[in-house]
Amino acid sequence: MVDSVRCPAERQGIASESHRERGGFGRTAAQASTGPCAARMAVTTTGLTKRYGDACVVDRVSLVVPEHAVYGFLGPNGAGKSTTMKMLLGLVHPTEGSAAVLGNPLTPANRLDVLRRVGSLIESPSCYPHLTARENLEIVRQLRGLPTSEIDEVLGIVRLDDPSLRRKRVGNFSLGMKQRLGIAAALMGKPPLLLLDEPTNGLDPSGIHEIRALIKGLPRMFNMTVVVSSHLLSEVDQMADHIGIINKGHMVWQGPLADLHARGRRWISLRTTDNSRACELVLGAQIDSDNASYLRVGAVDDAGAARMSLYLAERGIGVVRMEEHEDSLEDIFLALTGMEETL
Amino acid sequence: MTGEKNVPHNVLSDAPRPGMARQVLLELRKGRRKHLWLICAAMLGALLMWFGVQSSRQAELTADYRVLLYSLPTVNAIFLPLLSTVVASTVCDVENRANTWKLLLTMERAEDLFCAKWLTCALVLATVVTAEVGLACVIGVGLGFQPVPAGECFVLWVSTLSVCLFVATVIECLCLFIANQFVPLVLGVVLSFLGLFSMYLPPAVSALVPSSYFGLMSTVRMSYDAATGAMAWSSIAWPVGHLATIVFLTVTAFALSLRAFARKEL
Repeated sequence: MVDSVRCPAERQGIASESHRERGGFGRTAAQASTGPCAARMAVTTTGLTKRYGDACVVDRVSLVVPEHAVYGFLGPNGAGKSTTMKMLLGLVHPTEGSAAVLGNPLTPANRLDVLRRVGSLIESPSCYPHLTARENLEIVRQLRGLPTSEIDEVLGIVRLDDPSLRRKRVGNFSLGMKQRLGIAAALMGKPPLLLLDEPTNGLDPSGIHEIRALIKGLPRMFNMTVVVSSHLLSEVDQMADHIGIINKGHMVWQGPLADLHARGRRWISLRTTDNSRACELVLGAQIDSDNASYLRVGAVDDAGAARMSLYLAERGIGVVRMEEHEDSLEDIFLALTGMEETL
Repeated sequence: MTGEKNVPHNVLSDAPRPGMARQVLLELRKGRRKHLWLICAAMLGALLMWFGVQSSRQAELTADYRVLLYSLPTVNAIFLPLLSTVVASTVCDVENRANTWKLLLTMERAEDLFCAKWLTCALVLATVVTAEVGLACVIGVGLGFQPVPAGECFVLWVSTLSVCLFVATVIECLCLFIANQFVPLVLGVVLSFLGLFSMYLPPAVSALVPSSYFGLMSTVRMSYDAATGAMAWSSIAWPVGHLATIVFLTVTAFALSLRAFARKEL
């Protein structure tokens, strides 16, 4: 009878310990590039490295951003996200390694030609506080050699086209409005690639929602590829379809977001009238380290859960609670970045 | 926010990057509502008022136009270093305040941006110096002095502008590397303060003070007889050695700043 409990879990390969100890979450850049999206990449970097003296801020990062994806570049503060993005814009010179943007190797000689097809917002919104939104965008328009109609279009996209704002100086804008103006400047000309560094920083919840909805819609609306960096997991989880996780300058994982979620552990928390006996009877069961009044059992399907419950009941052990759990993106992120222990 | 608009994507232009003249116009556009011209006009007004009062005292003694050519550099040494600092600081600080360096340098070369800013400063200062020399001549005639010969006006214009451009170049360099505008402004005030005493400094020392060059490049010298209290003004050859020095220093400061700015990481 015990075997009947063991078998489903083993057949599905979801025995908690074996899954937990599998380790090696990481999908390398090379692995990622062999996936279905490998045909066309908006951004690829090879061994991109930046050192300041002895400090290695970005260490051999190989970024692979598929075309038309929203690529969430995730990492704790100081992980190297901004430096990597600045290297993609040629604002910081790599110590080693190379980058290709929209199929063109990025060199000092062709940097500006390549960047004509890239919009960017790095660290904080860039806008002249003594000018109006339109006057700010006029400067970008002239530098990019775009038609005047572009200004109205991007102002409409970020909803800064209200007539009451025509004469309002940007210095009197809220942070959210400035951020939207920064995104509008990046959108000028609808470049095929957009690099946004922490675009929702300092925004209120409704502002975050608006920006997130905009970013999610860009690939569909304008055939854009968006690389958006953030240290907020929930934000990236809600808008990205591909993800790269960087920590202490190292790329620890990248690939489709669904793959990352699939890496999460699933288990069942079980509370019985006799946990110690149940622990002996159910294969792989162990005392839950987070809550000693529960047992932790590898995830099983409905039939397996029913069989386990019956099996224990037949031996006089009542099942009081049975809850299914899975790792949140935060758990996966903390495990990948090795920050689990520090928190 | 997004709305399902069917907006055509990728309308990026293949038009050539804007030329230097257009970039200078853009720099002037950025300075809109900064009241730069108003500040220049106010400082120029104060300078000319000082000059007028100073010259009017001499008008009772002589109608020699050389009095004007001697007086103006002494006033310039006090006002123009500060004015040059304000111009350069305003033109460059606009990017620090707007945090636009990163954005701009994804659209234009660092060298072009640096040159556009320098040329904008040069344009404003050339306008100010032209207005100053012209108005000073008009004031001189109004006070009863002989008209200043055009050749002397040109020499004064070149000498004055060259020192202004040197100061503006140094200040532009500082503004591009130091976000806090207090430092360049303090330097401007110090240069103006030194200018106040530049005529009293020993020649070897005054050659080290940029504000002194307004006086050093003057084509008029004054001699004062302490016994009789008489003053006499005489013409001398244009000290082109000093002009060459200030031009050399300006070119060197420009080249070093440009190189450093082009290599700067943001």
